[in-house]
Amino acid sequence: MIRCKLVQTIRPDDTQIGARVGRAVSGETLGIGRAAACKIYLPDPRVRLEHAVIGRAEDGCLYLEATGPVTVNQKAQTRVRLAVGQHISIGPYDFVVEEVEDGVSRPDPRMTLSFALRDQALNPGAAASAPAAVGIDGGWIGQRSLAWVLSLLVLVLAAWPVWHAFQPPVRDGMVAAAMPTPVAERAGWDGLQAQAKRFVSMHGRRLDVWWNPGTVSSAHQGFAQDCRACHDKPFERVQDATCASCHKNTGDHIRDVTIAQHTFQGQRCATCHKEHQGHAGMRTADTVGCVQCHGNVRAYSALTTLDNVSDFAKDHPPFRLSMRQRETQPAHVLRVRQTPALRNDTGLVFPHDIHLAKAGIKSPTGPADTGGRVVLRCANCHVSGVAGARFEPVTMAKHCQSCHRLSVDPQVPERQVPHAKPADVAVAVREIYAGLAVDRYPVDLVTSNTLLQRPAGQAPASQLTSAGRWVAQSSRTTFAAMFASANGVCTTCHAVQRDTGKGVGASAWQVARIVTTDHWMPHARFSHADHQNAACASCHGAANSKQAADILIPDIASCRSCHAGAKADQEKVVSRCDSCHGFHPKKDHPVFERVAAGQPVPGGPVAAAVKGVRP
Amino acid sequence: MRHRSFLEYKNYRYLKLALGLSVLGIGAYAWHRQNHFATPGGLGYGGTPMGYGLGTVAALLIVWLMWLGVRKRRFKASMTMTQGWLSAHVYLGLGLVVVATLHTGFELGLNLHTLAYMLMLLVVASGIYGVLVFLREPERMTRNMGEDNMPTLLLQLQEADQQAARLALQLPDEFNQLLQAAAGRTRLRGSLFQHAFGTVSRRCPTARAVARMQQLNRQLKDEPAQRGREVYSLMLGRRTAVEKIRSELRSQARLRLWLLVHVPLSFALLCALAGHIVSVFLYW
Repeated sequence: MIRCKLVQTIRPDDTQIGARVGRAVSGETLGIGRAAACKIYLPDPRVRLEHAVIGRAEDGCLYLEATGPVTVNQKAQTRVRLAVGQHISIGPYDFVVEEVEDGVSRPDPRMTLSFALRDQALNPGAAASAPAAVGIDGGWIGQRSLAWVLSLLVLVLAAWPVWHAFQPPVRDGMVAAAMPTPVAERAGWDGLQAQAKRFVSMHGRRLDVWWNPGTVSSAHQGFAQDCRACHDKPFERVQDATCASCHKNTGDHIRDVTIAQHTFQGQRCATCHKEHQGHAGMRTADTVGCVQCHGNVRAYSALTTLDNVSDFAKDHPPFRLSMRQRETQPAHVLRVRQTPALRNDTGLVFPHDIHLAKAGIKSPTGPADTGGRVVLRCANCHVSGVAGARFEPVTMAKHCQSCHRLSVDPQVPERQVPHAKPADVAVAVREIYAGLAVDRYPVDLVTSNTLLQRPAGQAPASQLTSAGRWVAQSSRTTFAAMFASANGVCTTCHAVQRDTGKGVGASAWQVARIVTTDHWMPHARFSHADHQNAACASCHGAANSKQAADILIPDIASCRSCHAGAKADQEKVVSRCDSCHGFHPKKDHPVFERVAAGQPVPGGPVAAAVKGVRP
Repeated sequence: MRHRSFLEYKNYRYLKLALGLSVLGIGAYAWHRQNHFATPGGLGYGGTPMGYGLGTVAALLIVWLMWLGVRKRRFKASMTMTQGWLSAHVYLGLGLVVVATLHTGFELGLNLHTLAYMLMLLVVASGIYGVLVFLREPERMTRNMGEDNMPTLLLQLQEADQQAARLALQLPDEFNQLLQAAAGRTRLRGSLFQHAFGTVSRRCPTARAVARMQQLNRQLKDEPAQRGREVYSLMLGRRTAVEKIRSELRSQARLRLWLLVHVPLSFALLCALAGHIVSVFLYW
């Protein structure tokens, strides 16, 4: 029988000083636990039902045998002999062994145990379900921190490429020096670094395209990856000088510098030519830009000769034709508003209608079965130029003479006079008849000897011999007929005037100057090649033209039958200002100006080649 | 009077405004594109007068929409006014998508400008999700809580723990271990993500206690069996309370979680937008 005195220290409200309550328990063994049967009853869920047992061993000593976790003097023990002064912890209870009387000699071992509850909390779950243990923790990921991180990320993404682009360029040599060995052969961190360096030096300059707001025009694609090609300085607009450094032959819209400056004050190249608008973006400026001024052009300049225009279909004025004037020398070009009554005196006699007659026109080379008639087409005389835009000039030799032979005498139609001045023609006529005289009057011919021995004051042989007289007579008559008769060889095409005071000789005849206009609208862009699907007659009323003075340039109404304005029309071609007009007149490239001025040109051989090409 | 959500504020006043803005924008864009649009490349372009107009409207909208964050932190603002602001925020935010899209002229690329546009779309998308959350979660919270509220649920937990602890003193050790674990290690506190995604209830001691006690009770007989059943029913009640608390906290977390996307992205958008505007007006 073990007798045990239990002294419990009860500390109400967790105070340090507590009341000591004693009681005695006894038994063969003393169970310690939560179970009701335990002698040392510890009502706490942290203590096991039967946590430990104090019993007497063979040697008569008292032992504590633990089934649950027990520490004796801060050491986990499962079986320990009880001794005075031991601190035993079971669950939340602390025991102190105050007295032990045991041993083989003692039949009834005694002991005194004092114990106390270490922590007062009866319910260990109270802490977990307290309001403080419930809720949502902020953590470091909050709206504010994330906002900072993302914003900084965007700013770095924005700023770094620009910063990098404006770093001094890395020379190839320097790159090579920085990487003495090929990148691939270097391993580890060094190799990685070198690879990164090489990547940046190769592609880094292109990173600033991150700012590119749109596709760069096709002409600028060559340097589209390099923002600095145009954007010289950060935060500064592209300067006109930068554009002009390449576009050297672009002329100003208004030639007069003062008016140009006044009119285009504050405007830049980029005002009209907006880059980053797709491949075709820069090519032309938009119609809106033209109409801004030309819709009310008089408001910009009181002195202008231009009419207001806002759209080709709506209010484009009739064309003005640049006609070369015969009256002035050299031929002055006059811009005249096109009217149905307008004529252009060329000095030429040429009825288009006769030449384009459906039945054909007589030609010495015409086939016999049609009675020598040939049906002419426009293209027989008007041959397209190399560029296809306009036509080669019509010349007598190439286009007229095969029919309009300059024959003098029907006996020798193959012998023709040159298409030249009257004096030259007179000589040629006489030579032709002289040749004929040789055949006709062989006996009358003077020998060279008699010619040489002719005494002074004697009439020349031509007057003396019948052959000579015939030649002189025939030449005079024929020459006069060429220039005077209505259908003479010359008067067929030329207007001829006779100075009556000078007889009938070559000096008496004045052939009217022929002045034709070969470029009627030099300010407009027009290509016949673009219009080759249309028949000539659909625009040019040549078949009904009786005079060379008729103007066969189609009027604006004729153009409008196919061309709409800027607004789309189902049956017509959309035509904006820039469809026909250019903004910048072409200026000679400085190289050509230097060549023209006879100045040395950088890069001699090239310049020489250029000189050869240019007229 | 029936409760009116912020979406129905003043009989859909701001929905009408946003729809009007969108229709006006689309109409103006179509008219401009049809009649005055003449960029040579034929590409859409934010730099035409119409493009600048739409861009300005979009930028002002973004700044105004973000001003809500300032506005709602002002205590002076009355509830109705805040509701009106929120209503306008939602509808004009949706209208912003239309206006900004028109401003792009449908020309997008791999650049900062498109980044701003994409961020704007992401912000609006997260905002739409937020509206859905705001429509769904409060109702769910009310249904979940029923007659309870957070303090009473916590009291219920404490009560159940104390009663169970007392009852289980005479029950086998495993009961007590389960009870201790349930009382001490049931997690009701966690980060926003743990609550929103429910990871806070992973390996829950309360749920385990309920499951295990059911098995343990079968082994008990007589008087302990009676106690066991009582403890078990207490734990069932505890589990219900814990689930309710967690559900409440999950809803609260969901109400806040989308803002972690919406707000930071909108600040990133503001930065990208600033870059866009600076580059367009100054650099160019």
